[in-house]
Amino acid sequence: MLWIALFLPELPLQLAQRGGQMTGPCVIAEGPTTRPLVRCANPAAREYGVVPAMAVAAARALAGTLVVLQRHEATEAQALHNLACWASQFTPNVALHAGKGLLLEVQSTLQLHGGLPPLLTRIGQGLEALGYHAALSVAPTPLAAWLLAKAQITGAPASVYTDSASLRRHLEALPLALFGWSDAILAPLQALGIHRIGQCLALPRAGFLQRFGPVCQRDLDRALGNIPDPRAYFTPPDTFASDTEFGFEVNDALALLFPLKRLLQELEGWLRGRGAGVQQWQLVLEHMRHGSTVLTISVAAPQRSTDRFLALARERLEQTTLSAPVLALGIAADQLLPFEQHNHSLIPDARSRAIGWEHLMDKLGSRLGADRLYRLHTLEGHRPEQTSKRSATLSGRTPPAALYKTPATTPRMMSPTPSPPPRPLWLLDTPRALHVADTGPRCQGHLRFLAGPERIESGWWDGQPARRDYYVVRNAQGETFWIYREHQREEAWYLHGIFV
Amino acid sequence: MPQSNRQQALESVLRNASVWRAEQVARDAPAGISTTHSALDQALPDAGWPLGALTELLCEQTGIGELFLLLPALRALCADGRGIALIAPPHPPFARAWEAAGIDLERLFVVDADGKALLWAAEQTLRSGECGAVLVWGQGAGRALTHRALQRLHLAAGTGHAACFLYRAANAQTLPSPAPLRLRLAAHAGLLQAHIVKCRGIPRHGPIPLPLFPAHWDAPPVRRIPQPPPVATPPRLLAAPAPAKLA
Repeated sequence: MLWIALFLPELPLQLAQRGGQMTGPCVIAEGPTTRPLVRCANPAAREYGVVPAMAVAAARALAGTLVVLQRHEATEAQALHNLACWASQFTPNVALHAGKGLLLEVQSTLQLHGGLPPLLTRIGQGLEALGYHAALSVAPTPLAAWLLAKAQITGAPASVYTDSASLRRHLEALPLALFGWSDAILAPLQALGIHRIGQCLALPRAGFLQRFGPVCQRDLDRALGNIPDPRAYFTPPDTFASDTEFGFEVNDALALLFPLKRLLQELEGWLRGRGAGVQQWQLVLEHMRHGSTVLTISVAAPQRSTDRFLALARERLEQTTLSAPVLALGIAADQLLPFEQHNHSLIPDARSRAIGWEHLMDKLGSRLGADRLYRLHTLEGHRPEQTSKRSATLSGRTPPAALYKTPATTPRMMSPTPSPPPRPLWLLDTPRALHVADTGPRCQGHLRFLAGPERIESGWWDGQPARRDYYVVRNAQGETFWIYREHQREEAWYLHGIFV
Repeated sequence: MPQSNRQQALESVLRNASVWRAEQVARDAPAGISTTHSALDQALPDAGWPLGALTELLCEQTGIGELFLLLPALRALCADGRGIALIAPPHPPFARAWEAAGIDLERLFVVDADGKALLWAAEQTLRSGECGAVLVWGQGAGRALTHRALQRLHLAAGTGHAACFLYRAANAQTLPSPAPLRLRLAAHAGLLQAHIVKCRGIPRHGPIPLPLFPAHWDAPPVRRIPQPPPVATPPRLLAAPAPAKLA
């Protein structure tokens, strides 16, 4: 077993700064409202001498322009949950540790990632892209990995130990306080002059067990791997939602792209972990006192690439005017769909072409709106207006045409005439009534009859009966039309199509 | 300068190897798609519709076969697995007719847009290289259809190696255009006639007649409007006999 521990001591501060870096001094406050304490401070605040555990009033006295933000434990828990979703792309065995960090069991997936160093690099770069900074360490037991990661805030170097012998040597030097034992245990140990794990291990086991209880002995044994340390693994959920709050108002829609990229990277990690993609997701812009704007971004086929989603969101945001300044940004996705991973091929083939086609449809659809973009398909029937239907290009994987298309050979074989009857390339949505003179119908002039009549009589069963005689006609300017006469009425002529 | 001297000067210039006559422009391997009309193919410098370039079709009227003219090329591109895009067509396309013309409906899509969005959609579609032919109806673009916009379309067509056909009204002929090929289409005596307004090399003068529609349409038997089937009309009421005049 090999465990990677991710310890995020400055999570509250990083959450506050994910939407955009704050240049001025800023601290996160926690504790009672009467006397709040500084939980963490950004580098600008630390320059003024503000340190954690200082009273907020004292910090304000040091830094005049200090921004004080309240700590939200629920937000942190949600962020850690989303981070666990993201981390599930590296290994299926992710465990949350005490609500402060993550433990990843990576022995089984090392080969997939090409070994430990590339994996650590990927995790580190990924975290940085998400806007987090974590202490990383590797050890054969989860508790040891956690202790090593925690030790890094006191200035210890990043540590990677894959064998038990070197781990034990290193653990012995670590302070006992890292275990997080209660003061009732730590105080007597310190009174005995025992500060380090190594000193503790040198004590007689039976006496230590009797005096300090089984919990302490169990922690020591688990850290060294003497007894098993089972962990409850995190199960990635079926839906995903993540958001980030800005400490300021955003007026430019394109300025949202930077924080959006971080959220989309989380989404991608979650989708990779689930081996899935999504076909649509929601972009939620929270406004001050004006509710929120929800933009739905759809793609033709399940996707999970951050870059693709970001490009589509950019098209959409460029077209959007913000009704009010944005204070927070969120994304949400449900409806996981199976994702097909395609191999990239050197020579363009049908598959890569289909991907390019989908990308084009997504791009046009996200800017113009999916309803401005359509494909055609034919339906069985005789009334011309009912055989030609539009279908959305973003409707799904199966092209609707494939669903409705009938074998092309059947009607041809049954057709008594060798050449199909003429059909115009344009068909008006609603037939236009023609002016009828003594000499016959007119359409921008006198009409000459070229072909016809072709009787179409259908639909008596569905309440829209059509009994028409169709003709191909041409006017003096050379324009060719497809017109029909209602069968029951002598003088009712309609223009239905144009031969272009 | 006397006539003979002028002739000599011209001859000496023409003997210079670096001077080419327009009619000698090398006709290398045809880069175009055949129009299937031999007269038109011969007149076009690429022996067909050029790929990777903007082609302007200036129509004196609509409904004269200006789209029918392109169908063989569209069919060939479809068979090649490339798509067809109709950007802002003036009327809804009739699926049956396109299918009957041999166009794969799964490779055909229509965009409803106007103004700058129309040009943007056309440019993106051309640039992607997914579509072999992008048909653009310029009327919807209105004032956005500037010389610069045409240049962008031409460059995008080159990037995506696609044919861009732009339909415009015939009065746009006087406007400058970066399109290497411009045709004016008119109907005459039931035939579509193409005039080459501009092309590489020397444009052929005079109209090129293009028989598009079935021959029997163009020479139809003299046909009266078929009489509608007899409609049972109620017998007309006889006028009531005039009352006898009183003397």
